Amino acid sequence: MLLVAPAFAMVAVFVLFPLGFAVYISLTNWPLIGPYHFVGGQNYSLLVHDPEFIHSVLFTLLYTAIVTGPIFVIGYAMAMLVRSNRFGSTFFRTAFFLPFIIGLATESFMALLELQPDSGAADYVLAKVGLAHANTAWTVDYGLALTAICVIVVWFASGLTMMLLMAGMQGIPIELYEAADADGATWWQKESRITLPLLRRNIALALVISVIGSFLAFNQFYILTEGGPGTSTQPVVMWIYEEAFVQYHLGYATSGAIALVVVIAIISAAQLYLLRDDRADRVSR
Amino acid sequence: MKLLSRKTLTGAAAVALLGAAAACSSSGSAAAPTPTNSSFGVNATGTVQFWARTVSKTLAQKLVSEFNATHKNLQVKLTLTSINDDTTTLATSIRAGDPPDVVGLNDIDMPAFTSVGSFLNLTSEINKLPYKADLSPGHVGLATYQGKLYGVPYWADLSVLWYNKTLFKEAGLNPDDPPTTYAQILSDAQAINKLGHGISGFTFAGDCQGCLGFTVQPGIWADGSHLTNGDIGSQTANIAGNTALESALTLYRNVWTQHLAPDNDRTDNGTTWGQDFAAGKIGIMPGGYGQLVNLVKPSQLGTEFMDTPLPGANGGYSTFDGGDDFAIPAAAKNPSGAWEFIQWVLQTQQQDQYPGLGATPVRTDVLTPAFSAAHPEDAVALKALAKGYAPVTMVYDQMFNQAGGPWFQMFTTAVYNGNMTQALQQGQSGLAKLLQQASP
Amino acid sequence: MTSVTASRPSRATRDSRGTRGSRDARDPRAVRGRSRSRLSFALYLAGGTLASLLFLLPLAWAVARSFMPDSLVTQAPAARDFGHLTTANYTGLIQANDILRYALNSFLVACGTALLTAVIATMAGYGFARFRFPGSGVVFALILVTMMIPFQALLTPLFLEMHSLGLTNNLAGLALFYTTFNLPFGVFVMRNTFMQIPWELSEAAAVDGASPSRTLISVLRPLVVPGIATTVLYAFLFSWTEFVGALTFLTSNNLYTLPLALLNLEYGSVGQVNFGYLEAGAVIAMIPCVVLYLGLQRFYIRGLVAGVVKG
Repeated sequence: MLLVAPAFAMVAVFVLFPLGFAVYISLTNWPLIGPYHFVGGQNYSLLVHDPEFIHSVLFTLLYTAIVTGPIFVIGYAMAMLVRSNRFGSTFFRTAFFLPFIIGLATESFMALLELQPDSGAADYVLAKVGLAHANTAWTVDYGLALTAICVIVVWFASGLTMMLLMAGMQGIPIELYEAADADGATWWQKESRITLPLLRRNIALALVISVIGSFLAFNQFYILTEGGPGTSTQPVVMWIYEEAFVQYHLGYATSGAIALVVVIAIISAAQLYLLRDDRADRVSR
Repeated sequence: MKLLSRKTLTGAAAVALLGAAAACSSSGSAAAPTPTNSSFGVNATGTVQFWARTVSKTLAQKLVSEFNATHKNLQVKLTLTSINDDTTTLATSIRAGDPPDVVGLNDIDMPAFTSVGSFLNLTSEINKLPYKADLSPGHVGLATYQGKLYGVPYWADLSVLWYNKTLFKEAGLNPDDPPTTYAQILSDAQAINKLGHGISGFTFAGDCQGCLGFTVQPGIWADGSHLTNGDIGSQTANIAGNTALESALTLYRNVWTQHLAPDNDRTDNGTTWGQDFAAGKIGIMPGGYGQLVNLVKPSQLGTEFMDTPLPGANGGYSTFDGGDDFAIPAAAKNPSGAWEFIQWVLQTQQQDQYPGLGATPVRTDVLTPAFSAAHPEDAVALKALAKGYAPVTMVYDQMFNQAGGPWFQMFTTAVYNGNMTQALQQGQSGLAKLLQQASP
Repeated sequence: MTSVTASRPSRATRDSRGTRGSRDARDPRAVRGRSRSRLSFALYLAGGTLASLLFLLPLAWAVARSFMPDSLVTQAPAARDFGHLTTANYTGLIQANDILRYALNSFLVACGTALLTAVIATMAGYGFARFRFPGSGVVFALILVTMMIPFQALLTPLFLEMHSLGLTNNLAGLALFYTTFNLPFGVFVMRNTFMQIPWELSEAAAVDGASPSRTLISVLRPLVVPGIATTVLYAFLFSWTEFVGALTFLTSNNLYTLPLALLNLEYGSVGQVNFGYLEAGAVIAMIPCVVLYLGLQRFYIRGLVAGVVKG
């Protein structure tokens, strides 16, 4: 108990207390500057009828649905590639993880430069191979912008998935594979019957982090499209930001944020429940 | 089970906070304090915390170091606030009871603060200034609320029409005869466009709503029209049927359909605005005075690049009174020192240094023949300052700067999609809705 | 048959492509699989190299761009650009913009965060994995909740709270803030790590007469170190690249961290960006992270007393 106390204390002070405060704010019409009044659940009832909020939620869900699969699959494949410590695996591992190290914000700025029509590298390369016009404007078209952002995010995040899964894969005893080989198992059978089940906890962690990260996406959209054209590529957190810091409706924005937290908590709990590893929870003899 | 416990705990915390928070519910009273001491701003001592926007970095750093060198008993400590967060930082510090002593606030953000009494009422102090009548009307207007002044101008970031004299000559145009109507802009741009070799007649930041608001509106004001009518609290939208606005949008529509601007202007969100003009590839660019001064060498000003006031459809000119106002937060710890610093900055000696630091002075009486001779490009801007304006409204950010705001939606529909009627309808209803939401 | 609930890392190399290699070349199984493993090795090398190049290309390009002046960087790429390489972006950043000071600030905060997170998360992970106390599920869930909250929602309340605690505008306060937000990941990872450990190892060592603390440290350490390395790495990277929190809680310019400094490279009233400087700044920011990552690499190669625990 004592071991856990410091962690819990920090979370209580820096997260739970402000969260409680934030819940209170969501029940007021707190503006950025000036006095405020308690309004009860009014913000929440406004939320469910706010088309922009609803759109941002749906957009965030769509975005999450698109990127989660590739991030996991590519991360898993990369983990399979590098988990054996053979010649070159350190180099590969570093190469795959490097985009994550650099950070999505910086990479969004880099992408901003390269996605410009006529002067960016993206159009230059794609035009040379005939896939696009040299003046394709990526950042002002809904479909193109979403595509570009999804590609960038998958590139960024799959390295982390790789690291998380790889660490778990390296903990699986080799004897299990040897035994399966003796039984003549194929590569796919070994992977699905031995690796995947034993990796449940790591998979759970990787997926939860990936999904939460997608739900909380902000930087890449803010930098590349500012939510445009119009508000078509505006994720929830950006809606919260605009509402709070541009419209100065901090109370209303916070109610959206609390709603988001609840949704994320439910989805994460569901993921953890579905991927729970009862057998391995307690080592017993 | 898990979820329930989390919510219960949070609920308990919230209830506990209700008591605490209720005690400090009203921060910022409606009536702001007024300095009454006669020695206010004279021989103050101590430190002055000055928050300036990073945009004014060169100017602020120079002013502060000069002031500190000449005022041994009063030292100014400068902090630069981040581009997109200066209002939030200020608002949060006011709420925490720990604001700076003087802040250089983006002038269009003034109404949000003045209307809730965040700043000191400086009317009596300002009335003592001998040059009061020469202060930039646009800046002063933004610092006024219900007849009282809560700030003074700090520096001006004005929009002008830049043009490339070299390209004008090459296209057979008179480099000393810049366009003064929309028709002339169009014909001059067409002539330059014909030069080819990657040269364009015009450029604009087509995905940057703030840039467009900065450069397109002055033409509308030059024609005597505004996008909002009335004072804060009872403003209405003046977009539908606004012929000045329609002319301005038509100009850009024509520029776009006739390919007088580079294609990638469509996605220029401001991050690279003006670079193609600075590279000598563009004939005409509505832009900021300081914007170009920061991009080119001083030797190029006046020789290769020159500016002229932004014209309206049929002559007349105006400018966007951007830049910052000085304000002293109500809870400032050293307001007297702050006012002394402010007055010093407003002296002619300091105002004369502005052009070299990328800014325009805020006093029209600084425009002497000597000034015009020394800084001809800034003199153009300063001349326009007298006819300058900046919208005084609580919804400026939501209307013009916010992604997805009505201004940019209107511009896109009119200029890129070519549907003027729909654009004006969207603009009218969008702005009307914002104004309605903002009125208490 | 070994129970699948116990996982035992071993020194044997692993071949994911079908044949399991063995370091012992005299092993008959290895001899038989050698030609198959040669092909699979070639495939692995080819596939890995191709994928690596694909991943690294954008970054290499950005590094190349960082050596070009801003005026070139915003125009269409051309081969002749490489003839105009310059270190102007770097000198501009280091001299005129004092970037090294900000890098130092970031470094101090990141190191502090990484250390603090590692210590607290390890303690907590051990506690959760080894002991079941009443409410442990709830406490664990509450810690996890931290991961799910968008920063922006908490900024104002958190600022007011930290201000009253005197933690705003100082690097230590920022480190505490970062540590807290890294705890869920760290606790999760460390808990997983401790759960993977075969406790019979320590029991076996105790039977052999080693003292409990010695067994804990020497036996468990190699098992636990990859988890700690992951936590440290993640915490460092997180605080190194984070900027919303730094933006909110730091008001004095000389305390700014690196991302903040890069953000402030925007100039002009509408946020014009000097992309040359930005790319150079990104490269500078990359360096400590890559160095740290490579340094921690060796903790990921699991080596342990092989064969200590059998069947």
